[in-house]
Amino acid sequence: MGVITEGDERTLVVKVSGEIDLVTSPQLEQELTRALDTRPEALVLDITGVTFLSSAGLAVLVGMHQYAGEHTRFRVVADGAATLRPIQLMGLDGEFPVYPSTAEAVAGRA
Amino acid sequence: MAAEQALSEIPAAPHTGNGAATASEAARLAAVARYDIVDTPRDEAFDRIAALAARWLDAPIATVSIVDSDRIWFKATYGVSGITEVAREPGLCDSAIKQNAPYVVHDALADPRTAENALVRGELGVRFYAAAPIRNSEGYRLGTVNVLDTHPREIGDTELTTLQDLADVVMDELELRLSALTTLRHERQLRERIEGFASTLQRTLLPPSLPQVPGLELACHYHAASPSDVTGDFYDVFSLGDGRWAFFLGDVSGHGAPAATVTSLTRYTLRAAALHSPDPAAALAELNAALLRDPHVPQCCTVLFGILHPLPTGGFDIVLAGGGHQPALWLRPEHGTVEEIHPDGGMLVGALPDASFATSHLRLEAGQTLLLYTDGLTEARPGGEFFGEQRLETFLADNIDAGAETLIGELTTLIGGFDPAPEDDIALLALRVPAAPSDASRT
Repeated sequence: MGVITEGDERTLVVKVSGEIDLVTSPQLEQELTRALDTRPEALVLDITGVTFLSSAGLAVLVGMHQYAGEHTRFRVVADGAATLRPIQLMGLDGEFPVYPSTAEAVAGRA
Repeated sequence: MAAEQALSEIPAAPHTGNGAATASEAARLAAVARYDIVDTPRDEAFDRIAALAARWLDAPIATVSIVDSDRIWFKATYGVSGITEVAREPGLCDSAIKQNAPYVVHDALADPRTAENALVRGELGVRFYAAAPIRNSEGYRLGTVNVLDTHPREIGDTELTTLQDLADVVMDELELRLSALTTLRHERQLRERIEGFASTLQRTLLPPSLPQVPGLELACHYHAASPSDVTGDFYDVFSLGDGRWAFFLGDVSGHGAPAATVTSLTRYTLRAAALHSPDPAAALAELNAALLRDPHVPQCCTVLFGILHPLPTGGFDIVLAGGGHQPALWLRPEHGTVEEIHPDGGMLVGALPDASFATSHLRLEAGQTLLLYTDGLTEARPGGEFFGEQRLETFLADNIDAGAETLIGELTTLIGGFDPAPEDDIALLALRVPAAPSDASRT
């Protein structure tokens, strides 16, 4: 799993690639906690480069959305069978906003 | 000279009574047994020590010998072959282990201690013998490192010291082996205990057998990824008492004791909720609240929970509620289709206070099957590639007419052939309305 964080203090974009499984999930949780602790206005998590999103990874997304709380808007960028489908199967697209592209997520359009 | 000293150390007669001597020999034999060395295969480490003894003491023959109850067993030999043990008789090794220092016989034929010994009288014709005891930290002498010659000869202090050093090296080697053996035995016992515990707990989490549901064929399979871990998947089928039946299958996001807590909480919450609410989605909402309320349960789960209403004409109306689980698969042989049944919008259970749950309806008719599974199956990677939903559906389409038992059997065989083996647990539950009416009346 690879994680790249970029952006300014208002909007952070975290791009994740590779596999988010039982082994790498804690690392993702750590990276996202660190990013959220800088208290940005929005955090965009781009997982379009992820090839496998396990239920442990989905649980991290749920936890981080809750951790972001009122202060930071938590947005996810996902598409296709590897990332969007598991989010939909778990009904999480009703929990946090999911966008098809980073640009749209940064802009915050529905 | 050292040899003379060594001789003088042999007690003329045991100064303890016979009973005490027998007791101390029994304790010595217990020590020999503890190292578990007798009758073990050849080992280069000991062969090398025998070879070193022969070379440094300039002797044609050397052995590393262990003195067992009725025999002298050779862990290593140098210069003789084909002999693995000799009878235990006084004069040589048997006498050497009775003292703490090296033991020397300069001329075995002339020496009253050895003159009648078979190795001296026999074919080998031993005339010279020098041995150093292999002593453990408790003082037990397990055997000797010794050199033999067919001519009488003298031996110096330095050579005897070398011999004793080699015997001490043998002892170090035996201690190392013993500690490795002990660790290994410990680990094995621990593993067996844990596996026993896990499988006992597992039995309490899964129904021991599925109930007989009139007009329905049921089959299930559980593939545990690790025998030493309590699993994270679960399923159950039970009667609601009024002709209706309920079933569920799910997956906890984790393993071990915390997962077992979720499984057990899920099992009794759903069983209780189903009895007082006709809506399976309401039961999932209750489960969601129960999981969130319990501070000991940090895990969440995905689950499919269905209620079966038997139809007077045969078959069942099924209301299936989804809590973020993989779709159930509906096998319809009359159309040749495998259809996904996913209650859209049903959310992960036990993570979100405001979670909502959805239901789907279907009518399971004669010849049709509903298969519930956990993602350990689709996320397995036989040959390095995800098995995936597509391949599962194709496999099911190829077995669309199979009975529930046969279908689960085929899937079990398929999973058993996965290389590498699945990393996660897999639970399977198949519900099928038998095709022929005669079959239906038999169940």
